[in-house]
Amino acid sequence: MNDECTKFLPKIHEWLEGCADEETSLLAQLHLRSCYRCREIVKEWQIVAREIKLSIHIPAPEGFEERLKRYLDNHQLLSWRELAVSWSLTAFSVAASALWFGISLADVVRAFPQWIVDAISWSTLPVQWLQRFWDLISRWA
Amino acid sequence: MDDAALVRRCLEGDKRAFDELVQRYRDRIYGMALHLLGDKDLAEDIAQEAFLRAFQRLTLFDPNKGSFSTWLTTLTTRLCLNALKRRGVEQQWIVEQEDETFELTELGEDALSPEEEWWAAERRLVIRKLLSTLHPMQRAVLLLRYGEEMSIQEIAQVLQVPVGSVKAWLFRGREVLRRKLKEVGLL
Repeated sequence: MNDECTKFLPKIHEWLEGCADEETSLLAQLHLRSCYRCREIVKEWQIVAREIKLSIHIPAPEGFEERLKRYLDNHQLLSWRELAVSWSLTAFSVAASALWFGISLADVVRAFPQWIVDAISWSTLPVQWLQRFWDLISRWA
Repeated sequence: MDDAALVRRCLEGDKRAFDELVQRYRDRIYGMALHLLGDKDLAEDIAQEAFLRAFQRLTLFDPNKGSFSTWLTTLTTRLCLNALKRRGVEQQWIVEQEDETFELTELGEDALSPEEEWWAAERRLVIRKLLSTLHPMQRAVLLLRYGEEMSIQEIAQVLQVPVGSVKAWLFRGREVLRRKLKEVGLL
């Protein structure tokens, strides 16, 4: 096989696979007509393809289908189990959230009047401090 | 009954239709997985996983876009390549003798004499061994092109690679295999 063949073989392969453009196809065919060696290689490629085709089927191991059936059944059971667990968890989370929110809301409602009293007393704090300071100054003077 | 009809029956709840599909494709899918992975146990796991996924995603199969066999082969090939990536290193597959005796009885080529049948089995054994020495992508492309008779465009879609890469792997893989077959005197 000379350099020219090495150059042409990918083109010939592309043409044989039906994915070469017009120019490549023409060049590949011209080279094939004049090159006995490349024609031999093409024949050998055809044998390679045929041999691969023949070797693709390998009998599955004995009991393959039974194991697959069990696998499918187990997976379906597992799915139902997973579904049940996920639904239970969701329901539990919703209930817990509702309970927490209810308790919190009750606390808020219960504590609300006290918060208002506290807020008023906090707002008067600076005045109270000022008064105390004034008293202190007055007493000292 | 054709595959599309079996899929329709399966979607209507007929489990036997899926059993029929498994029976039709088990050897092909297992063979593809074994060729790509080179490990019998892993190949069986992957073949089972492929059928399970096919069963779960049957509603996604669109007969207008391609055949069931192409769809199933795509699932299998992607599972195999993911398994190879997970495993990180590629292991060589040593074909055991017990496989061949099993294959002789299972495939049994009626028209051949016992001697011819033995030679045919020997050739298949050598081809498998030689295939196992190729790069996984070259092997996948060769198997999909000549084993499954997919087009180069289809293979590019299955492997999610450019068409140019498929062409290059196909040429190199075929050429390497040709040289190796010549070396062992099978060409």
